[in-house]
Amino acid sequence: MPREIITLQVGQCGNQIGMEFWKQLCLEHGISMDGRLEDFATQAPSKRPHAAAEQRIQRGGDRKDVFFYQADDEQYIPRSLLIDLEPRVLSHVQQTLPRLFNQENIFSHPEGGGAGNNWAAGYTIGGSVQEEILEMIDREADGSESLEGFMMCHSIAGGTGSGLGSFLLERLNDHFPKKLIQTYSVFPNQSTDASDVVVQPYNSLLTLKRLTLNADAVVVLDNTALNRIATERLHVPNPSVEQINQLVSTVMAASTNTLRFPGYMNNDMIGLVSSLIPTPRLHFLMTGYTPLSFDHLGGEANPLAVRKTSVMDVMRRLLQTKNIMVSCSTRKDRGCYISILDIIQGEVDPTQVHKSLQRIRERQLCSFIPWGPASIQVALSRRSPYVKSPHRVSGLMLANHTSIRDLFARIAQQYDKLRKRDAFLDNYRKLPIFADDLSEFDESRDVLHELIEEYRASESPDYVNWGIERTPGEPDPGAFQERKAGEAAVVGQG
Amino acid sequence: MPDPTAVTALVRALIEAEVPELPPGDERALRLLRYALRILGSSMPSALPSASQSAELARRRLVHAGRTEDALALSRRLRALEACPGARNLPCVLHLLTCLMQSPPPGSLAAFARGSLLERTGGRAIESGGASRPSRAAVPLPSRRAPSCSDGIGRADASALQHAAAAAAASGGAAATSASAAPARTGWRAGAGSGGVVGEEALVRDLLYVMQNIEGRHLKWDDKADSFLFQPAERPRGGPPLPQLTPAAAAAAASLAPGVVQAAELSEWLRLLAVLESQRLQGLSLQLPACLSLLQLLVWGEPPLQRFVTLVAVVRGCSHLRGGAMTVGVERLGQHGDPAVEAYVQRLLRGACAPLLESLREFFIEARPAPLAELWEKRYALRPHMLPCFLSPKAASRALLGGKAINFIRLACGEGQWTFDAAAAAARGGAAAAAAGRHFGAAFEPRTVNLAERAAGEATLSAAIECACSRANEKLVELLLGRHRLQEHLTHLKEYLLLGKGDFVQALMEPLLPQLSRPASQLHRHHLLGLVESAVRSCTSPGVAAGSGNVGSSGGGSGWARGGSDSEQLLLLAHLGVLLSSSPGATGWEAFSLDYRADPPVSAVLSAAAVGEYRRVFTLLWRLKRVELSLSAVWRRHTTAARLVRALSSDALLHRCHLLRHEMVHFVFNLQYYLMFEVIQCSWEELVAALAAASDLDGLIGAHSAFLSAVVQKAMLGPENAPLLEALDALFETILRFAKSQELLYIHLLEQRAAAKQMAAAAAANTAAGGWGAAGAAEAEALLAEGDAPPLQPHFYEQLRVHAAQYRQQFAAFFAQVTRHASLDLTFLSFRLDFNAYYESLGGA
Repeated sequence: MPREIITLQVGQCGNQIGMEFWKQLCLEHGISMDGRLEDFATQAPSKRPHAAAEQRIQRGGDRKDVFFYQADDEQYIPRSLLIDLEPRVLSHVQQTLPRLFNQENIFSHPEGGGAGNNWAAGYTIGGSVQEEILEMIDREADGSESLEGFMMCHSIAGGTGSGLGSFLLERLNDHFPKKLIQTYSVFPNQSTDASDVVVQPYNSLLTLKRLTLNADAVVVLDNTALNRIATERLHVPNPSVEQINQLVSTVMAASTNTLRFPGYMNNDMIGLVSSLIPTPRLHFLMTGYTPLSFDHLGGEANPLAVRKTSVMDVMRRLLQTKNIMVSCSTRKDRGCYISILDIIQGEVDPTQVHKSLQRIRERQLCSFIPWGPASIQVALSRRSPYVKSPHRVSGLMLANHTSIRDLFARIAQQYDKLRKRDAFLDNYRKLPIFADDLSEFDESRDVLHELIEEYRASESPDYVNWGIERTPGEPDPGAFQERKAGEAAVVGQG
Repeated sequence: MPDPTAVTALVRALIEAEVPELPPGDERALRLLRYALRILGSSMPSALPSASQSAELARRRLVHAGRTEDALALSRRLRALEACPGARNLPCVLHLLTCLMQSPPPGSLAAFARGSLLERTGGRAIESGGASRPSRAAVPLPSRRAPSCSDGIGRADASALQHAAAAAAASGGAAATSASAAPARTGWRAGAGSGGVVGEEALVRDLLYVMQNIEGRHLKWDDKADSFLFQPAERPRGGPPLPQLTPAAAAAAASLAPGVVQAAELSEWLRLLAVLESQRLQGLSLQLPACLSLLQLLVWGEPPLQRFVTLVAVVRGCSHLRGGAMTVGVERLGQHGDPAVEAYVQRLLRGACAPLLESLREFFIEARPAPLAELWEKRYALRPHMLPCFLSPKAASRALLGGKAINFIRLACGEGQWTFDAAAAAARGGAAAAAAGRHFGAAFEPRTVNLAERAAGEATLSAAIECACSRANEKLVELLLGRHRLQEHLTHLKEYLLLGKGDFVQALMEPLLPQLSRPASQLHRHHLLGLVESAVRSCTSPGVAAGSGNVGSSGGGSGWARGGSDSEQLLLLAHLGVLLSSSPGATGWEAFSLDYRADPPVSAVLSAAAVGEYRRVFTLLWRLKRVELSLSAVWRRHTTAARLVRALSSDALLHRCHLLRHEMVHFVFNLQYYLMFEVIQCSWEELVAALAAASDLDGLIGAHSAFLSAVVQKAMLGPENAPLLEALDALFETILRFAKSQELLYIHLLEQRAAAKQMAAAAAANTAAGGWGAAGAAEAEALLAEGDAPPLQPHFYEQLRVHAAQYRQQFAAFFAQVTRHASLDLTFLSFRLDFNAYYESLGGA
């Protein structure tokens, strides 16, 4: 009984990273780019009993059915919807992977004009095409045995991924109230010279409201940090979009690894995120990946980039700010970790994990929230038998860190700057949602503010009382607090 | 013929000179004299070598001794002598000279002659008819060289042999005794009372009877003398025929091993008797008086007599021993100075070992009745007291191990035809192994006088055993890990009973959830088994079922090649089962457990007891998994509820619920990480390494039981950790109760939400219908507003408070126990549970 996940790739960026993601998945499951199982993945088990057993153990364990289904001709087809309002990227995808995707799952707006980097345009068009898209989603959902949820890839800065994506998030909430929604959201490059879309603060703000209210978990992929990592860590002076997207797909594949190569834990999406997300709003996750090397970017291998890797190295490096794919400092003086999950792949000596944890704790390499228990969880994950990595061990960190509010604050700041000047609002006013007033902006700004405030609050021990002052009159919150103090005393005695 | 008186005087002088301690008038001196005279007067056929023969012999000796000049001189003298006409009796003289030449120095010759003569004369009891026991003297001392073998054993054995021979070899002794009187071949002067003369034929006949333990006419059994004696009695006696020999024979027969030898010996003896008898009869029929003389009888009888004497001694010495212990006894008796005795005992020993190799009853390894499933542990055992002397205890235990492996391969692994592949063994440089059986005898070759060789023989034997043992075990390990898929079975246990396969656990838990909350008495094993099987199927054949009807489902079964997963599935389903323990009043959760049945030969490693341990771990992990899943469900509810309530940080109650849930999730996840990773995975790595290194089944069993006990120990399932487990159970209960209350809270929120929506709809309808709808609208608005922060009944607060207090108290108790626990592994757990020192800070506050 697979816990299927339907992927929604929305907009130009969403489809680009989605394509890289599927390429990576095909590679890891031994599926060719036209959906056929590769010969090396179908070979009959060896006659030698030992080897056969090894093969069974080694090969048997992957679950292709979480992300793929099989057509009648045994071809593997991604459970994925490719949605865009302009045909350019979609036709590129179809040229690159002509036989992989189900053609019925590709939605291109008939007018093909796109959303013009306008959130409101994307959102509005969403209303007009929702029936068709929801029908496609329904069809995919009906084809699943026990659908766990949706995974959306999109950018929050453009028009389609942000606007149509936001619309879809809201619709999915209503339509599938019990299904989990996780997004891989690409945040725009905030270094001023690189920002190509002037209205991206507007789009980002409006999308962030939906990500806050309508998504269950958001994996933040910050273009600023991705570019920094490519230039500084991988020494690519001008990283191309493809290279950045390969970074993203590496992270996406690694973060879904435990779903596709199930081990003893974290085998479904909820098992993956429920321990990372303590309260419903604090669901923005950072990622870190190490070791990254040129082969991830399709370039020639740089021997310098391949270092000796051990579990200890990997776990320590994952905590370093420079390896975090969000441009927020995770240093100890800047916020704290709410939770950490390290997914370690490769040849892992189990005793090393414990030693590493011990050392991290002794040296206090990271700071945690003061209001509850928190720790580094380590999930050991099998690596695909079909992908050879030059590294013995690699690791992905999924972390909930309070400093992500810096990123939100920067977006809010940029928005405030634009909004103060009432700049570039005409295009938004043209569309129904802003026809009457700009209250949607204000609401979104409030939501973002609340989010930033909650993250800030979660850095303090008083977070246990968060929200109490806002709902006075209910049974005395003070009494609860006192009791808590009493309980603490009990803990002390124990 | 020389003058008789002169000869008598000469002989007397010789006796006086040689045996000066005997006074001239002494009876013994007289006897010696008479004996010597009789020898001299006897007309024994002399087969003297011719003069030239003797001369040639003497010359060769000289040449051989390096005295070539003397040899030349000898040749010259001889030629001169031959030429001399006055030389008479030349051959005799030469013979005497050559005899003297090869004799030992005069002193020792004298001593030997003296002893020998004394013995011989001692044997003249029959003639004197006196009380002196003939057999005593007749028994040649087997320990002629015993003094040289001066250790205690040698002496003791020598005397034992002597005594035994005295009694049991009565017949032979009698023969010898009478034969020693052979020189009186012309007639036999009977002693006191019998005036008749007994002819030699009659004596020979009687002796032949005696040799078969039958009284003859003249030789009768005498109870007092404990022997057959020459008796003139006419009174026939049908007395006890075998008073002495019978017990000895019975004792010998009781012990199988010497019995074999004895049987051979006896048949040889009887054959000899038959030959003698036929010779006698032949002589009678041909009317030839001297066809079988007493002397011939003596000569013929001597070697068997010797053997009997030794055999009886051995039988006496070892009659209480059996099996390998007997070989030890026999071997000890064989440590004897006399090469003849030694060689004979070695022969006996070899014979005694023969049944060891065939008869399990006397083997140093004992086979007990045990079912096939317990073949390895229970069926065979070492009997240390039966251990043959030439086998070290280590070699014996290796032999046991090897034998067990061979039997295990044949009986349990269904490889009845399996044998050592000699060619393969030779190819592997283990030619010795192939010939293991042959080498078994190498350790007690007659050459064992040479200790070095003997040690080498033992070493060869040990090496052969070692080689055979390791080959059998190698094969066994290969069979178990290969054809019988031991590691796969273990992997299954780890994946299914130890919940290592997360997707299976999920697939199983979901359909079981509604079932297991019912009382166990309402559950049906076969139904649950069906659910387990479908969960297995959904997890071991990936990518077949789901979504195949997704695109243009035009029928046609999916023929996707599943590779090895089919056989794996079959293997698994054949062994995986469901156990419902039948404790009254238990819910399905308490009663349900997965089960695993291993068949021989795998069951040697995976015994029922071991699977029982697995089930205990399963119960703990299964409970933990259930708690985890219900917390996941709560998480799901919380996120959905947050969307319903539609406001950020809406409600203190929900927020508290979130935090409490998060605390629980943290606990449950970290406990799981600890159990699955630190406990199971770490031990598993050790198990895999140990399996790969194991050279025999004991190694495999040891590796597995070490793994299992480590898991049980670290998973707090050991008996000393009962309080921890109890605390854990209490925590689980609290979490489950909390999860239930959250479910109710969620339903409550949904109801409120629905009511508000209904109100709003009603008001809207009212307005739309033209009515004012003011009151309704206001109400609806109020309700909708409350929808942001729905009024929650106080009892939810109260409940939460109770749960929180209970949980934190229980957790603190558990945590304190874990922290203080002596075991290092549990310290790991405490460190995981409080990685950020949150509880520590609470404790310090």
